[in-house]
Amino acid sequence: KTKENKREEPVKTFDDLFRKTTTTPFIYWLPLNEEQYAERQRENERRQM
Amino acid sequence: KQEPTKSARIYIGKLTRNVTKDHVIEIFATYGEIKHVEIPFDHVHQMFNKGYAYVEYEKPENAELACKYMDGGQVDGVEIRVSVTQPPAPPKPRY
Repeated sequence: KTKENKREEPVKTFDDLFRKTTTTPFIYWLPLNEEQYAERQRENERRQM
Repeated sequence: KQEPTKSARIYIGKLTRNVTKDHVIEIFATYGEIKHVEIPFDHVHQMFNKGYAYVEYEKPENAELACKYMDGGQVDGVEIRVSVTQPPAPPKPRY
């Protein structure tokens, strides 16, 4: 049973999902990925029509 | 519309009060070398920023990249706005 648990995907923490500044007090931040950028572009075009 | 000179300067809006100049520098240096950062502070509450900042890059390409990935991106749990500022008016011909 322990082996099965190990094979499971590790739980994602905040630090995996976001980027953290080294500047203190640290804050989290997250840029768009390519997909989200493309989505935003489409959205903008649709709005302009 | 024609763009005579592309601006290397971006406007960053909707920053939270936790964001400092150093944060802005660290985050936006991801997209290129930064030449200058302006982050105005509230006159009454000097420890707080006014929620926006200007960053000037060495190259216009960097400003575009920052705009691409950070407009709608998140900083300190809030979606921020980033846009390239209007370039200065082209110089008038001298003759």
